[in-house]
Amino acid sequence: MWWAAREGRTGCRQIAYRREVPHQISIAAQLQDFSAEEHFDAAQCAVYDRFTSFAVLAALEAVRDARLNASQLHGPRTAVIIGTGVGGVESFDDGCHQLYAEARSRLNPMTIPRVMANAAASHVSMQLGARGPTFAVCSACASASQAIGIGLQMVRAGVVDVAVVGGSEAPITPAVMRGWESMRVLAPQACRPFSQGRNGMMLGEGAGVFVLESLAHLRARGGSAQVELAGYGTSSDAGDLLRPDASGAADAMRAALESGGVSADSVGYVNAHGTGTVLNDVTETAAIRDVLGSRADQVPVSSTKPIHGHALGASGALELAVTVRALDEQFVPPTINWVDADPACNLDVVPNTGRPCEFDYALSNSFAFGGINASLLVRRI
Amino acid sequence: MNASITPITPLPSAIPEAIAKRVMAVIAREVHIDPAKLRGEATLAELSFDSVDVVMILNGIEEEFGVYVPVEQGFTDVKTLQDFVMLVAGLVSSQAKPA
Repeated sequence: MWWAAREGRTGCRQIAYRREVPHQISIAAQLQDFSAEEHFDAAQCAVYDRFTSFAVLAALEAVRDARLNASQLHGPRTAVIIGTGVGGVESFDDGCHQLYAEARSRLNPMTIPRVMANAAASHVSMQLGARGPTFAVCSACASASQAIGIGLQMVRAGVVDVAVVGGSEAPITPAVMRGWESMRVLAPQACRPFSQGRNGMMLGEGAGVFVLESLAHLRARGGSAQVELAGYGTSSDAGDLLRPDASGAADAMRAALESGGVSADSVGYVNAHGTGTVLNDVTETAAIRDVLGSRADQVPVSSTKPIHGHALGASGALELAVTVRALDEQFVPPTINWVDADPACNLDVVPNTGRPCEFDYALSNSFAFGGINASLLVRRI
Repeated sequence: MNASITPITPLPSAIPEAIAKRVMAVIAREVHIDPAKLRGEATLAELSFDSVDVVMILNGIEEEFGVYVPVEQGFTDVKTLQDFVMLVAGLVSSQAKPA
């Protein structure tokens, strides 16, 4: 995913539906080569919804990447917090179809455990033997960022030694797509954040999971970190249901900076929420300009949503992963599909081509329907 | 409840009046606003048009005309109900299939 983001290769494609319904929009960043059977045994496949499969795979990868062994995760000092917007909606869709369309007398008895929003967190906990605070965060597009931020707060507070945190979403069912389509925020042809002529977002799916631990804990076990998760900020607009608010977004960014003990002058890159909707991009621009002040003309701000889609409850995690790699490689990924400047989105949006950039701090934003905002700050080490 | 809708005048010649009238009728059906307040010169702020109203209207537009209208850039620029009707009627006209 990072290489696609860096090189500007989109994962958006024609959706392959398991059931056909009439629809106007049929493009999303769907993971079409994914098969749960390739990764899990029959017993796991019987109880894992697609969103759980994504989360478990990502968590196991994160733990391997962190070079943590099983015994270091067992017990009550490890938290597992996996954000999701709609949880096991594919299993719910199957159950509804069986009930209403097929009039089956027997439904899959595992429907409820597959659908429940905490399924991903619970199965990650089971796979890791992690017996500490375990739960899902459900805040639509801000879910993963908030899950990661709460993990940070728990580690800082000494409640746990390790927090396995992130988000997962597998929302591409016919009914969910029709629901999104009816809100008129899906782009019919291309997702163009911050560009003139943009007319909506494209959905995606996937999971991102991170292992958080304190520096002391890391050193004690002889481990090494990739970056520092330096800050977390969150706020609620308490305003319109669907339309974002610049002051709420700015508050979240400022809170992230404050929690990291740095000023806005330190920020060298912003991975934007940048959905490509008319409203988000204008509002986010205003919020970023408010926070960065006179430096807003110089700090690169890009949206990688045209690459990996808007993965809703997983988006904060996928985009933090992109931001971490950007920081690590000192390279800002582009905002692709950009056609022309929109005067209301007057930022350096890194149009179409990425570039090397020296920076020590980056922000990653996620703003949700219902007015929930979250922002994460990462620091190069 | 039937309410007479204030006609929108003048219209750019590219937008058939019939389409504008049907758009206005959709708006009256879909929004939670007293129809007596739906005058062309009323501002969207005065009418308290919120994001939910816009979504409901555009869904009504798809039912009425069979065209999918996403939220385009113009929607953030319109100030009055007349501007809004003209924008939507224009988008519908440009997408509508020939009779």
